[in-house]
Amino acid sequence: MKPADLLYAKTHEWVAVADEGGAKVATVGISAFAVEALTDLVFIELPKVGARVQAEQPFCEVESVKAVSDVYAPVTGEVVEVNARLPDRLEVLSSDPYGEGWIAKIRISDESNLAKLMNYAAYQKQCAEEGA
Amino acid sequence: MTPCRLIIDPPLEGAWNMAVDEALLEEAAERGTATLRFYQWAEPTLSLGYFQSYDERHGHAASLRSAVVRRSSGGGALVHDRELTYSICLPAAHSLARHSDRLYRVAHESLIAALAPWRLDLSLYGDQRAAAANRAQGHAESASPEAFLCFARRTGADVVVATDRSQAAVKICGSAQRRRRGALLQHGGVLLGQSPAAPELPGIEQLCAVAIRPEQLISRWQPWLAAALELKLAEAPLGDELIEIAQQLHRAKYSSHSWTRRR
Repeated sequence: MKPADLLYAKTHEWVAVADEGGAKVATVGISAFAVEALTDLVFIELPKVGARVQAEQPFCEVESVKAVSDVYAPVTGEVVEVNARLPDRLEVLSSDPYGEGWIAKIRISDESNLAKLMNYAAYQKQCAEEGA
Repeated sequence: MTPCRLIIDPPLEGAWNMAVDEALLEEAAERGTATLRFYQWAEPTLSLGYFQSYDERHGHAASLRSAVVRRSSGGGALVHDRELTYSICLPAAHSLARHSDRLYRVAHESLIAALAPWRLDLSLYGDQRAAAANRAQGHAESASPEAFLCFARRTGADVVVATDRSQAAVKICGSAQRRRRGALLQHGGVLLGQSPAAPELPGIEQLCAVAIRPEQLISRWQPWLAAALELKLAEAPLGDELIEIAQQLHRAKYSSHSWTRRR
């Protein structure tokens, strides 16, 4: 996926929304900016398939250099698939954050939070301000 | 300068110590406050890193009879006994809250500066001198990144004592972190003396033949930490609201078996 085609949460998760069988499904991952800031990821705990997640609430956790960070759900819905191979090859979060580094797919049950997500240009601006 | 609450606690129960640290992190995330806290432990306590398996503790015989708690932060297990523990909670707006590596380094460098009067040969593990010394002596692999105990692991920002030429540098301070909505909790221990619950880890007293009391270190270290982190310290109690949050965390999380044994 191209970064310019994705939506972004303030907390640095990216979202690609697709129609699947009449439902909107969000593929979710961590942006390259966030992965770089986290440095040397050593552990990820994926959400469970079937878990109901709430937008802006933690749904996944990662550890890097003894620092544990939450990953926040950018949309509300049900986790329908996780990238089960990810914990064994965390390097793809750095090498391909918008492709093989995806974390989970969430079937969206409430679309209201989609309007809060940023487009690529707005997200780049946020990153520039944070990196300053 | 960031206004910062200073808390100096007496020795307390492990689960309560962890609950207070998380309550302070929550406050930093929600209200933008900063807190520097020094504390100790009422009894020798093993704290597991957030992602560690509870069953791993069975491989460390010396601490099997110690109390145990699971931290919210990462890294390896610590035996908290003859140590001074500190925690720093910074709000997202603080310049170091986004920079985990720098916060480790800055806090630990301030510890080295604070301990200067005792003339201990301290450095950060990653600094050239310590690294070169270790390479030369063939000790680069003596610390395992997967060791059960945090103090048997090494990262570049750990504080080590450069002992005599026959030994590798020995770690006397390590820290770990937890992030929440941009706010950052960093807590860690300074090993003042060897514990019977972790006899393989010498403290400053054994390494340098210097007995430093926790109170001495607190009074020396806090101005250095405050200057390094650009904090304006003001001693203040936890407050009723935070005590209530900590009590909830203590009850529902840190004192519960399901939390401690969740992995």
